[in-house]
Amino acid sequence: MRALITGGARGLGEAIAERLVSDGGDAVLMDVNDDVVRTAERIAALRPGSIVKSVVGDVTLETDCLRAVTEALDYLGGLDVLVNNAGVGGPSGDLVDNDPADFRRVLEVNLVGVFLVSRQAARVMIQQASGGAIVNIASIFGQRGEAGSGGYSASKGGVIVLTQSLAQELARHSIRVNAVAPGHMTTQMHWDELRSRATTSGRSLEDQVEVTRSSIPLGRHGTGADVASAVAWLVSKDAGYVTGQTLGVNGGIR
Amino acid sequence: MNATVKSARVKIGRRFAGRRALITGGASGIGFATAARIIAEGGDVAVIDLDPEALRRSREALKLQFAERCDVRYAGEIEGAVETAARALGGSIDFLVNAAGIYRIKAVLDLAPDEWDDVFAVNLRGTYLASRAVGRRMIETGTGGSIVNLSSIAALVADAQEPAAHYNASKAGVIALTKQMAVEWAPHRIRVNAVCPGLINTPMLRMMDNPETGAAYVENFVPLRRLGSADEVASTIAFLLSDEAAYITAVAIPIDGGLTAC
Repeated sequence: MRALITGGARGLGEAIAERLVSDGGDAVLMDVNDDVVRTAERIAALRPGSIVKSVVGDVTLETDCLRAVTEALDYLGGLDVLVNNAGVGGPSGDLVDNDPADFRRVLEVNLVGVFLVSRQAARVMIQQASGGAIVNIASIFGQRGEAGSGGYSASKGGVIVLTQSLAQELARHSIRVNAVAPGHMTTQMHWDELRSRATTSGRSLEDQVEVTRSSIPLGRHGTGADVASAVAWLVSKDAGYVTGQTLGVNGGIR
Repeated sequence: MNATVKSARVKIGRRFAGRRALITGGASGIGFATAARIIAEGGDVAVIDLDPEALRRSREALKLQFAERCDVRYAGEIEGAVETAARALGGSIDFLVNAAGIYRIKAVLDLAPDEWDDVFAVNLRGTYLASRAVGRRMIETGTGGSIVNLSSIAALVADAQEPAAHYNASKAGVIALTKQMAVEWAPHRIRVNAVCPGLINTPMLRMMDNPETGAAYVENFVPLRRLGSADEVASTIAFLLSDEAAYITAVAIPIDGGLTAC
């Protein structure tokens, strides 16, 4: 299995790459942060003989997306899997107060970025005529609107609907497209969000973490490994009749 | 047409070693395929079903230690079956799959109240009764567990060609029941999820009774342009049962070739 994973430098993307490579896959990690070079080297060491390479690039730039897919093809000899994981947090606070530039920015990275990388990767997969699988990392906050992070919710909601459109368009090429919607995860993005909420509410960060944790039926935050196992299943033969769907990985929160 | 990617996953294959499952409606169709998958991955399975002949065949085919007749509509029967199944499995039940179900086609105005009740008794009441009996055991033994309920895409989308309001409503009820049990039992480390099969090639499928109109329907409404197999539903159920889905609870996953994504 040959995979391109965006946002692969750290967090969920790093965990997904670790999992797919450990399972026997080869991968190219794309990230705007050049830490991705070291991440790729570290993951390559997990499985001797694996090919794990990095591309420094920005998913909002068409040229970078084309370059990432082209380099992935060069490194891997083909492309079976795309994981659209690159994403940023949005502006916090009420929409009436949000700066339009901040609102546009989160849509540009989280939604337009998925479109730009997917079209390049899908063109390759169609050409190969051997099927494929795309997994988009959405969010539980894309499954319902959230007060205080409207831009982020809209971007991830857009990803869920884009997943359905892509699934319909690519099904005839035996390319399946699904999304994973994580809940509260142990990622830097989530801790940043809680830090911001703690400041607003006047709570300590520890109290803010506990407030969130106690709202999760399974009683813990999700991990990169939790998301990675869902991605690994969705790209496998075991999910061969699943397409256009969004799989919640959220410990039971609504 | 094969919309899949070869996975070199090594660990898959023994996910259920030492784990014990009870499957209602496990003697045929999706229930049987799920039993076969769990056994193939090292687990032990007990099956209950209403059909003696299917039970005999599945007992032979899968070398089951426990394959008994049970009508999930009756609390006494299901509670007795859960107790004896647990004993046969060695004392505990880690997984429950509620696959027992019936499908009836009838337009709302032709539907008699008794027919409505019959479908609800098996599909929804049966799922509630079996889950309650097994969930209670899981909580008492403190071992946690995972439950997967068979819903249907009929819970999500209506279909004028095959009217079955009673079936659809019962399967929508299964999703609501799934979510509620998931939040009530999460503190006991019991996960509860549902799968929503689409057009799956099993004895329950009616869409292909007329091969010509059936094929046209699949071509027009299923993006992947083929029927699904019972094995493809079983592989989803197996994922949800397994520790791979340790953070997934209260979800309902369609396995429908993209039908509900349109």
